[in-house]
Amino acid sequence: MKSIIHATIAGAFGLIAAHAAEIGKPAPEFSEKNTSGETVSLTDFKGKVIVLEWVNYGCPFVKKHYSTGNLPKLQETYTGKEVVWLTISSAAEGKQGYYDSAKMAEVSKEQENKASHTLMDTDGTMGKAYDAKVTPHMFIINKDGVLVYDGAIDSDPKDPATADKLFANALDAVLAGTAVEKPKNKPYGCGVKY
Amino acid sequence: MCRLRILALCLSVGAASAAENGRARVDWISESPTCEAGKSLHTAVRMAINPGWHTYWVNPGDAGMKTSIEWKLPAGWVADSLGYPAPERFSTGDLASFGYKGTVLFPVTLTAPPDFAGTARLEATLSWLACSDGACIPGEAEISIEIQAGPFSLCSDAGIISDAREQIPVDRNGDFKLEVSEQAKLLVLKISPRHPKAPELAQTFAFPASPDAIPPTAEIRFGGVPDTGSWKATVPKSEYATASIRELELVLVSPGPGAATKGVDRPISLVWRKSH
Repeated sequence: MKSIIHATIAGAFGLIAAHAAEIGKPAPEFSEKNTSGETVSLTDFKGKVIVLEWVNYGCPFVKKHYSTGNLPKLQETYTGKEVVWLTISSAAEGKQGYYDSAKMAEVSKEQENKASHTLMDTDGTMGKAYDAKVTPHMFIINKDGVLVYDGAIDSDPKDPATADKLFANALDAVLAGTAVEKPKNKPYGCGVKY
Repeated sequence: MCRLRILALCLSVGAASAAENGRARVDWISESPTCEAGKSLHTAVRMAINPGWHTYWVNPGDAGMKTSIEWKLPAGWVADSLGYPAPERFSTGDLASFGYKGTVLFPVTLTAPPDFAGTARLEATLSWLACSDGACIPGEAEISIEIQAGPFSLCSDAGIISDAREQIPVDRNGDFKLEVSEQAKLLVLKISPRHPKAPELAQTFAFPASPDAIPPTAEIRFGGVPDTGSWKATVPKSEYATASIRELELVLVSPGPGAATKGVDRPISLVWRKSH
């Protein structure tokens, strides 16, 4: 009995230690190709606020945020405020949400995605470095390269217009230099198709 | 009533309403095509999920969306809440979800109004998300049944509805006390029997019905605590748990045939609420 508890505790600490991305700590490094084949890395954006948005255009939760214009509007608004917005697909080849770079560029345009770049994380290394669980899953990195938000786009998948704007409020706080209210919260969505 | 007539009525109870999308076929079945005024009727929403896909429990886990229902009932009719059978865990990489595969029945008890006469048409919309390893598809089905006023008679579906009702987690807070204490990033779950006739729980394992308290990947297995007659499980606290856990509902299930002890033969539900 005792050994079961020890094994469980060891397992529990193992689970906790494995998360590389932690609020208040430097954001994990990444280096991925965008849909034009150019390499995009965390170090390219020193001194800028960065948003990471995990996407799967086939996931009904993501579809809702694009068809209502909610995500494109957020992308446009904040890139206009010098935020670097990266949309990332970590879908493995053959799974829902995967397209090759050319097709992904086409689909992004159809969806009116206005991110600075769309990154092709087909092997899932960036997703796993951040522990991206679902789509949509939002992260914010501040000007000092520290992770300050890891969570949901909003509080309720039913209606972006009336939900509590968890992510947007957090980003406003980061830009204003004030504290983020709910830096880590549980995002809803479809599991990332690694 | 002649058997052929009952059969015909049973076949027409939900026949027109089977709906298929979201990788599942959904229909609404009843134990009887008839019900008397003021009486209750056992029915079930039946979901036949395509192979390779699963739908979700009340706590969907790391991803997904709870299966839910919206009723559109004639005046005076009442539906109790949808019964959720105990789920199974689906793991994909580092994520785990709770839900169902194959055919699942969600029992619902309907009660007819005291002045029920003629025929009533009851409608509902079931919403769900079906996911496979590679994709997620939403589903929505408009389902309906027609019930005639009259003495109770038995449809062949009565058997599977009765079996399904037997497997819905039953509240056993009168027999057991669940306590939750926090130790750093861990939760210690303790169950104590309230009286000598409470069944043995060694080797049962549990699913958290409350979201965001325990990570869905954690296996919650209860072991006996020697000399105390209680059972204990230690689990990690969810990374999403707010400062301190105030409430936890667990559904306990038996490990199945071949286990050292029988455990419970029907899933049980236990709730703990933090006292001030």
